[in-house]
Amino acid sequence: MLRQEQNELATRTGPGTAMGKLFRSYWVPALLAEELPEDGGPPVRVKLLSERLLAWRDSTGRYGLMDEFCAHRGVSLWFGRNEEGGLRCPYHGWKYDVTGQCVEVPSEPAENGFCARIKLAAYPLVQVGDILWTYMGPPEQQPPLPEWEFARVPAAQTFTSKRVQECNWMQAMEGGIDSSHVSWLHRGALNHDPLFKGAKGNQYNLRDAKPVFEVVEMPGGLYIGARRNAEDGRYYWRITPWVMPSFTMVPPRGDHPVHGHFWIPIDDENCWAWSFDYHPVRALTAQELQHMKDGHGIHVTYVPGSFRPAANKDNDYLIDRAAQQRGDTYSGVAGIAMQDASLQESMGPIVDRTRENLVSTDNGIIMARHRLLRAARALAEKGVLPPGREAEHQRVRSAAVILPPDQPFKEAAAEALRVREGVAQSSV
Amino acid sequence: MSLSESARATSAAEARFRLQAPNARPRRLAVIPMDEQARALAVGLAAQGFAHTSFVALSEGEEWLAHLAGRTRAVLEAIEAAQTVVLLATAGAEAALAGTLAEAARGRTLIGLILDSEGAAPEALERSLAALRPHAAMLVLAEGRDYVAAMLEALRA
Repeated sequence: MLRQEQNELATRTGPGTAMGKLFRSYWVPALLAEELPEDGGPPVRVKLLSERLLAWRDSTGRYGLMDEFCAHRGVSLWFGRNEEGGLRCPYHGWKYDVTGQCVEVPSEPAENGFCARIKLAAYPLVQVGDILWTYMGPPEQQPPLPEWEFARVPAAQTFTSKRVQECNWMQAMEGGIDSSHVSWLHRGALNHDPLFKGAKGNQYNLRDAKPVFEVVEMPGGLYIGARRNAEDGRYYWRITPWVMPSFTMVPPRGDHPVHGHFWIPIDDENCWAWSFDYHPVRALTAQELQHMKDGHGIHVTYVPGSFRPAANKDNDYLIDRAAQQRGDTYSGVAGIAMQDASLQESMGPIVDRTRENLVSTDNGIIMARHRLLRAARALAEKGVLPPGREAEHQRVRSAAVILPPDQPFKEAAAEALRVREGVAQSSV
Repeated sequence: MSLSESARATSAAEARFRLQAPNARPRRLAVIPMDEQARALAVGLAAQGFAHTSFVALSEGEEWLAHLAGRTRAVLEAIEAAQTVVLLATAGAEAALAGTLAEAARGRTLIGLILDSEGAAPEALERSLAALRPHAAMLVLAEGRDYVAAMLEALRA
C-alpha cells in the first residue's frame, strides 16, 4: 500500500509536481519519427506530462516542440501554416520558429521589436532511433542524449510502436515489473504468439508456474529475477531490468527479438505505452516485422488513424468469454498488451493504493515505488538529480540464463546484463 | 452512442462508488535479525511503531543467535503469530540459522532481506545468499538499509 499523500506524489506529473520534476530530468519519448515524416509537413498535437504541446518539422528539417497555443489570442497552432522556416498562426499571421520564438507579427512594425518579446515555451526535440525524444527540464541540467540499446542499433534491427493507455502511468508501469502475473494472465502466449513461441526456455516456464523471485537493487534502478529449476541442480533465471523512471525490458526467448517498454505520462489519467522490439546483432526479418505490425508480441492493432488500440474500453476490449472458457486466453482478452491494459485500466484512472494488500512477490513494485518517491523528494527538496540519466545506467539488457544455484545473479550474469556491441542477447 | 460497460465502470465518476469497507484483516509479520547490524537496525524500526510486527530478540544483545536454544519459545511464538516472516541480514552475515528458522516458519511466507549489498565483497554476498536463498520465497538485495521500513509499511506491517 501507499499512503494517500504518497500515492498523490507518485502519480501526479504535471508542472510543479515533485514527480513531474523527476520526469523532467530525463529525455523521454515524445513521438515516433514517422509522425513527422517530411520537412514542412503538418504539425502534430502532443500532450506530455499534462502540457499541451505541438510538434512540428519546419521547411528546413528542424524539429520543434512548443506550446500548442498562439501567444496572441490562444488559438491552437495545430491549424498553423508550416511555411518558410516557421509556423504561422492562421488567425492573424503571427509566425514562430522551432524554438518558440515569434519571428513575425504582421500587424506590428518590424522595427518596434514587439515580436522579439514574444516567445512560446519550447523544448528540444531530437531523433534517436525511430523516436523523437524531448527533455522538458531546466536547460542547464539537460542530460546526454538517450543511450538505450534499442534506439542505438541500426534501423533494420529495431521496431517501436506506441499506444494510448487510459490510466495513470504508474499502474501501467507497475505491470512491467510485476513478473508474477505472467504465469497467469499471459500463460497462453508462450505456445501461440509467433514472437515468443519455440524457445527452449519456454519449457521451464511451462513446467513451473510458481517461480521464486529475487529483487536486486542497482544504481539505475533494480533487477527482478524469476528463478525456476533447470537441469543438474541449476537455475533458469529470467532477469528484468527496471531503470528509472519507467523503462523495463522483458527477458528474451530464444533468438526472438528482445522487447521492452517505456511508460510516459500524457496527463495524470492517461499514458503512452511505448513498446519496442530489437535484435542486438541482426536485422529483424520481414516476418517478424509483419508480426509486430499485426499486433503480436507486445504490440497492438489500432483504431484506424489513431494510436488507440482496436480493443479498448469502449468495446469491452472485445472480450471473448468462450475463448476464456476454452483456455485460449486466461482473461478472455486477446494479446499480451491488451491483457495488461484492460486490467490496469479497470483499476480506474488513478488506482487507490491505500486499499491494496501487497504480498511478498510484490517486492519489485515496492522497491520501484521506494526508489521513485525517494528520488522525487531528493530532487524537489535538495536538487539531487535522479539515477537513470547516465549512459551507464541505460546500457542494460534483460537476460535469460542458466546459472549455478549458489551465485548472486547480478554478478554471475553481469556480462549478460550489459550492452555488448556486436554480441547477441543472452537467451535460452 | 451509449458507453460500454468497461468505459462507464472505469470513469473517475464511478470510482466514487467503490466500497470503502475494509477488505482485509490485519496481518502479522515477524522480523528476525540474523546478525548484530541487522539487530541494531531492527531496534530502530521497532521504535517507529509498526503495530502488526514482532521484532524478535531485540533486547537480547548481540550474539543472541548463538544462544537461540535458550530462547526458542519467544522466537516460536513470534513466528506462529505471523503470516509473514522476514529474515533480516546485512551482506556477509552467516545467517547459519536460516534453515532452522525457515523450518519453524513452514507454512508462512518467508522473505529474506540482505542489506548493504552495494559494494559488498562477492564472497560475503554469496555467503548470506547461500544461507537465505534455499528458504526464502522472496529474496531482496537492497543497496542500503532504508528499504526495510518502506517494505514493512507497504506490507501494512
